[in-house]
Amino acid sequence: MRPYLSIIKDSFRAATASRVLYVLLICITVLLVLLAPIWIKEELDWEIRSPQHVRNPDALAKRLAGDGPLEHEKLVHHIWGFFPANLQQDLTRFFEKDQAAERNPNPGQEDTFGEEGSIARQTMWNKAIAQLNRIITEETVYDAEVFSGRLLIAEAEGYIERGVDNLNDAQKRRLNRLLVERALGSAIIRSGPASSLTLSYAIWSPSFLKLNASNPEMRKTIALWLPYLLDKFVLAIGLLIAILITASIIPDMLQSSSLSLLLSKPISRWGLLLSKFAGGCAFVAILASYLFAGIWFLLGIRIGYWETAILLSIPVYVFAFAIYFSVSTLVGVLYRNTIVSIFLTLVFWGVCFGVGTVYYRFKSSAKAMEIVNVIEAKDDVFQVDRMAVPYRYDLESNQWQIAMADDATKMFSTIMYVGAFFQDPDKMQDIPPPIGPSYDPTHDAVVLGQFDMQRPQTMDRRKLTSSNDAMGWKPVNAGYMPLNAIQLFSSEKLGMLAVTGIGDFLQLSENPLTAADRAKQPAPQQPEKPVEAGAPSASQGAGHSAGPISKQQFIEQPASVDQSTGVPAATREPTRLDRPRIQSASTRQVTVHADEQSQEILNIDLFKRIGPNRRVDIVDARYVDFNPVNDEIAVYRNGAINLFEYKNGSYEFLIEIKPDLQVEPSMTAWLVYRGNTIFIGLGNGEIVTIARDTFQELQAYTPDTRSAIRAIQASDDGRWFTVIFRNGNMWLLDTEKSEAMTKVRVAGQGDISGAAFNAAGQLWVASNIDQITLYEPGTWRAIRSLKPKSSFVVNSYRYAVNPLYRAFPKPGEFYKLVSHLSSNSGVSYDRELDLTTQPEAERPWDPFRSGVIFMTLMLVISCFIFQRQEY
Amino acid sequence: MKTIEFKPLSPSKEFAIEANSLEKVYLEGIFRRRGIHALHQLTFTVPQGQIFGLLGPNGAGKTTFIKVLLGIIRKTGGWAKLLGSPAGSQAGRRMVGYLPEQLRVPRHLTGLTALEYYGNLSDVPTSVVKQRRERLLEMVGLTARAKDRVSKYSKGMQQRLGLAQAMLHDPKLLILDEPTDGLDPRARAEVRSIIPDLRDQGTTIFLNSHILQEVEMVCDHVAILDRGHLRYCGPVREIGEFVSKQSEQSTRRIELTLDLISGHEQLNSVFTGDFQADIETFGAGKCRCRLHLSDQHEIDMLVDKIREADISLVGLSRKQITLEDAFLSIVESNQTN
Repeated sequence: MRPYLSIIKDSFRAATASRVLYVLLICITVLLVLLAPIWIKEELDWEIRSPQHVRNPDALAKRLAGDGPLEHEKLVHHIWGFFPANLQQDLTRFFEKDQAAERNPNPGQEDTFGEEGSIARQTMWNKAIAQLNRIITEETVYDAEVFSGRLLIAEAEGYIERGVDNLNDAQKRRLNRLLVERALGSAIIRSGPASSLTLSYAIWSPSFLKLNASNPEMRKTIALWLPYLLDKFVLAIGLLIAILITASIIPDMLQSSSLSLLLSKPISRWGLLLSKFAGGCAFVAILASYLFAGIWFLLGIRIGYWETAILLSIPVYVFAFAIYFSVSTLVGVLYRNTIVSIFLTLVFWGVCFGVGTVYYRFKSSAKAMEIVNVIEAKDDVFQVDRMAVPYRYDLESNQWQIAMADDATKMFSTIMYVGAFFQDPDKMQDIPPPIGPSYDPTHDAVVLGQFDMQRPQTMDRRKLTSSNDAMGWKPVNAGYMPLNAIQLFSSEKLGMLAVTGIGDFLQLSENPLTAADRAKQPAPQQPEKPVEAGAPSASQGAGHSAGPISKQQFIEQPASVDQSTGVPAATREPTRLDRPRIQSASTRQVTVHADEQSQEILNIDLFKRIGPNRRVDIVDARYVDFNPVNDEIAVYRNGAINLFEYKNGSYEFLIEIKPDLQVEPSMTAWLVYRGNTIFIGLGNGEIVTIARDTFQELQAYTPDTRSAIRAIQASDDGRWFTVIFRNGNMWLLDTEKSEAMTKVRVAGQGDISGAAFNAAGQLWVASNIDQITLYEPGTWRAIRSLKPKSSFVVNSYRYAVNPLYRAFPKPGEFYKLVSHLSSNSGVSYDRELDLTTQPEAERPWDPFRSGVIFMTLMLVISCFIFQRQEY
Repeated sequence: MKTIEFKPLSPSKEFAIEANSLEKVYLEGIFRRRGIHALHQLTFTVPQGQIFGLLGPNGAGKTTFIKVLLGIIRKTGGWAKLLGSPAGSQAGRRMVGYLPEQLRVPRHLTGLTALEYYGNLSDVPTSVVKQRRERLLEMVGLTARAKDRVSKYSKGMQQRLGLAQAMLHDPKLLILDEPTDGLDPRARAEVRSIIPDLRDQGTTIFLNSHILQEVEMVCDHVAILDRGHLRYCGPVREIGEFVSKQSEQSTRRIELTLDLISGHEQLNSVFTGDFQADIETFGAGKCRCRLHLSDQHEIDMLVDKIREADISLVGLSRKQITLEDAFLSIVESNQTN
């Protein structure tokens, strides 16, 4: 061993004797000195930012203009009072115009405000948000009379107890922020972390470096981005320099004047070559150690972030270099020429970059077409892909065909696919899917709530499209879905049920297929009266087997919910915001041409409100579920589960269950309620099950640590629950056994993009981009498999680009592994961390695996040639 | 072309080097179909404890032979052994110290670190290297420059450092490829003086040199290679006899030059029969005669005969065949053949 160690030691000697080493060490020192003054300033957060806090500025404007003038809306009215008269007028005019336009849509007019409507609308939103921020900074929002009896979150209560006058400016702003948030509602303004951090350099704390993140979020962000930034900016240059410097090691060794002596020593040739190789890596290791240890020390000393994963970067990046150096070694052995070594190593670098670029573009395009949900409607199978485009499987052509879409939707979907091409596939976010498609057995129709691409101002209201086999799947636009509708459920007893974001449950009262025809007839005059909360609905014919109910994940910004529990929403009066939804039953005016592609939208009310008597805000479709066994609806909000039972023709609040989840109430959650089990998936990847009959927590699971949940599905009978994680794994819980969750024995694990149970309790599993397979739960026998003809892009990706990329070394992607290690280290792991908000590297160990294989191959070939070569 | 045939050998530890029917063919060309025969059926042995010189003109195969011994290149046929171990094996190389021709020591090393590096490569612990290197550096005259970078060394100094590293691990066999190449006369003399000392300590020295006088001075045995063929292998002192045997004047290896004062008839009476000579006359009875004789007895007989003929013997000089003569004679005779 001594001879080989002496070769490595000699490399150190060569490195220390080299001036290049000292130059590089000085460069790194300068970099570290420049980074040293960076620190993080933490301060209470008060600012309302869009889109982090205001996801739907249109709803904010409507909330202000709609409820602000109403005196009984005390809280909103109080905030409205801080608005200057001219802005109040502008907002009111905007609101009234919009309301009128919704009742009397003009298909030729793109926006309520004319051709430049979107700009005017944006300006209005910005003014409203700016005014709210001005109120927060300049006014005293707290008014004991207004807020008395209103339940506020503990933080706000704490400030009030200390006395508003005793607060410093930052605390005052924070209190104002909490009160504004409370007044307008968590559905309108979402709460963020209590404090935000600003990146500062010495005494300079510029506002543009405000991180808008809490301390754990910042740590996580550093863990994710630091390796990337180092990789792309520092190490790219560092590796280039390392390649240039080390390229001469092998050719120099192979000079005949020194080689003969080396070969005469009692050492093996492969040992000699590998020791020289290790020596080259040792040179880079010196530099990498200094750089990373310096950064680790700086981060620790400056911001208390002692992240050991940064130190792990040292071996990881030395390994990344070793991949390049293995190429350099092979070229050196073959040509014994430094220039050729450098040139061909750089060519290799370029090829790696090229393969990676081609792969990512193809992957983006292919991933956009990944199936995320499957819906069975009698003999037809529908799917929704990541771009939220619904498809129907066409048996004759063996292809997925865009389903129930008009020209505008098709054009929009094309734009989405083109846009996806340029996205980073690892950071690609699911677009909020359409509501449905869902099978309505009562009317034998598939119904779908889509954004109306022709009328973008109706972004909080979706058009309801329906069709069936008999109509050749031509889309019929039946009208609008309820305002803020977020989910559509199918029930045997109640037919189609819609749920809105403010907690209303509505029942489809018309046959969506014939609603268009009925609209042509003169509508009977109905008295305009608000429907009382909890009013009984029109009875519906009992449907048959309900289509599978999908719960799609929205991988969006953290779905932070209002932490203030406040006064129960049900106690508030119907607002002007609600009114159009309730009153619009009389507004049947527009003719529909069902046989035309571009159809006008009916403005009839297809839905009747059927409760509940107590509203609970619902952030999005993940937070609500309908149990087809007992027709109950469960809503998750702020760490509590609210159950509603169907009784006497309407939904009534039953109970609020507060399981001990031990996480922030605002953490993203999925709720699935089937049979006797309420299944909660949390943003940190944990699963909790609760028994309906006892309201007791049954079990807690953490099946796939460190990967965010993508979707949860359950069979209608409540026996099977499957959780699909973002890493493509699917885990299963059999509630009849319920000992532990198991990784389902189905094909495509690791690549599963979506799943859904059908009415018969069988599980459709989507994998390999656009293929689905039906499994029998329990035996996990494949019953049916749909492998449609794929597009050129998908086929190219599947059979050429992906295999090539997987086999090819990826030295430029080691930051993913470091990010992964960093995110999983003890320092940055936090149960409180919402994984859904964090980007997740796909197959982080892949660069390492392919790198090891490639480097081994290069070195084996090099050793073989060196062994055979005569010098 | 004459080739000396040796009996096939059986490996023995008594020999430092054994070669038996050793063949090396270099394949050249794009398809490696053109073969250059570098070593032809080479069979000879180097006994332990000797200074053995390998001679040959450029391209004779001397370095090829050494490289085959050390495993730097592969043999094509036959076999060779180093101290009983197969040529090229690590066990064999462990016992060998090697000074290559035109050694270039890595520039970042100093005299001291170079010895540590090469010592470690020969599996000598650093502590042992440190003990030995002072003596070796003194031996090769580099003590004063030991801490200097090798990049500042002259060619001769590098060569001397190479010699020191070759001796560092107390090898049983020292293979020196042109050890005095680039050295000044004084340094050459120093190196020449070291070699017999090493031999006396039991080290076998295999010397590859083109400086024939040097080889003649220090070597006990020599081998002469010519275009891959072994032309001679044996003691240096017998090479003349060998050359003589190979030449037409098979027994007359002593060249005698006589300066005489004599008449024409007297000369004819002496230089006749076995004493045929080339006679050169200068006038006034002076002449120079050159002839070849077998031994001292014949010289004595000739002198007696001259004196009997009343010829004045002004001068007599005798010359025996040198290694260089023998080498040239062997090589040239084979080229002629």
